[in-house]
Amino acid sequence: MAVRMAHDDELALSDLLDRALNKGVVLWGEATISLAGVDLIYVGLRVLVASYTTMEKFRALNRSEASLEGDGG
Amino acid sequence: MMQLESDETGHMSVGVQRVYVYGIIRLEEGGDGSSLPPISGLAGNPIRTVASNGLAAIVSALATPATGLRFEEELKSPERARSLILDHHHVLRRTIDDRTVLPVRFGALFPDDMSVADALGEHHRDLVEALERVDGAREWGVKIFCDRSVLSRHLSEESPAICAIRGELSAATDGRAFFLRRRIARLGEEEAQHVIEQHVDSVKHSLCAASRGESAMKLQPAAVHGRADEMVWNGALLVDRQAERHFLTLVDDLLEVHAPRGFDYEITGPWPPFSFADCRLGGRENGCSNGT
Repeated sequence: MAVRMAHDDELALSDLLDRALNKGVVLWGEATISLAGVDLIYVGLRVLVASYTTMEKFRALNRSEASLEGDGG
Repeated sequence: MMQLESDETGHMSVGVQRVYVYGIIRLEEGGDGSSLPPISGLAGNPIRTVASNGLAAIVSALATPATGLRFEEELKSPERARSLILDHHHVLRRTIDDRTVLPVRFGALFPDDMSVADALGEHHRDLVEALERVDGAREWGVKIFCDRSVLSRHLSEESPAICAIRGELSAATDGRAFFLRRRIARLGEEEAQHVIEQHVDSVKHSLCAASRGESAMKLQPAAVHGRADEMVWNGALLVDRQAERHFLTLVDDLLEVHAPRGFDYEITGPWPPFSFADCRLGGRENGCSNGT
């Protein structure tokens, strides 16, 4: 029995938002988005994610880029 | 301390090239970071490195209006924000196959290379320590789902307490039977909850034994995960590159054992070690958690 796995371009946007906007090193530059700004983006996008009936997939958004990965097979 | 220029003047026709930071790597002995894959980042600009004292930031140019505040304005459009966050992820995703990358939270924008190098220098010790914590490992997401109806059915057959009440049921009067059925239902729910909690603990324990660390993530509601069953745990595991196959096989094996009781798992990854790189550098809340 194999566990369902989502790799790369099949990852759900919600899983990415929980990481890229909530985790990782916060590095402050002069023009870095404030934490409050990041929170706002997060909330806005979570509303978007929750409004979908199925999970949003990267594939649809990055079809052109995905072809760069691997050998295309 | 730098002061952000406020621009309510509206004279912003000329854009400014800024430097967007994706992640931080350690430079190989004598290396210059030029071994990065030839990929583009935000807005299609090629990625490159800015090096400082053994570390390097993976960056690309980003044209913005003359103040950083405008970058935040731009991100108020969810479609625009989503597209840029995906660009951020794709750069990190394609660089973690060959090296350890400390992922930077989305939105780190600097005026120029010099200020990026300064930030690397200023936080050198914290960054080196954070890199060491994730060295040679990648993050994998594991979610546990439970179909409570399957679990309850399973429990109603194996729980001694519930079986005992069911034994009473056949000889009970109507009124008593009603009462007993309600007790069975309530006991079933309580036992299901207990079994779920035990299950989550035991799976976490097994996963931790096969990884370097665990970090809990927010449970997602059904509207987000889109499944009929319920998410009962959402976590991130930091797994050594060499142990990835073992780790994934372990999750398969766990599913084999627990699927009949209504449990299911989902794995996502590999991710850059976002959940194990929680550090705030240069802000008011300066410092890194040690990941415990």
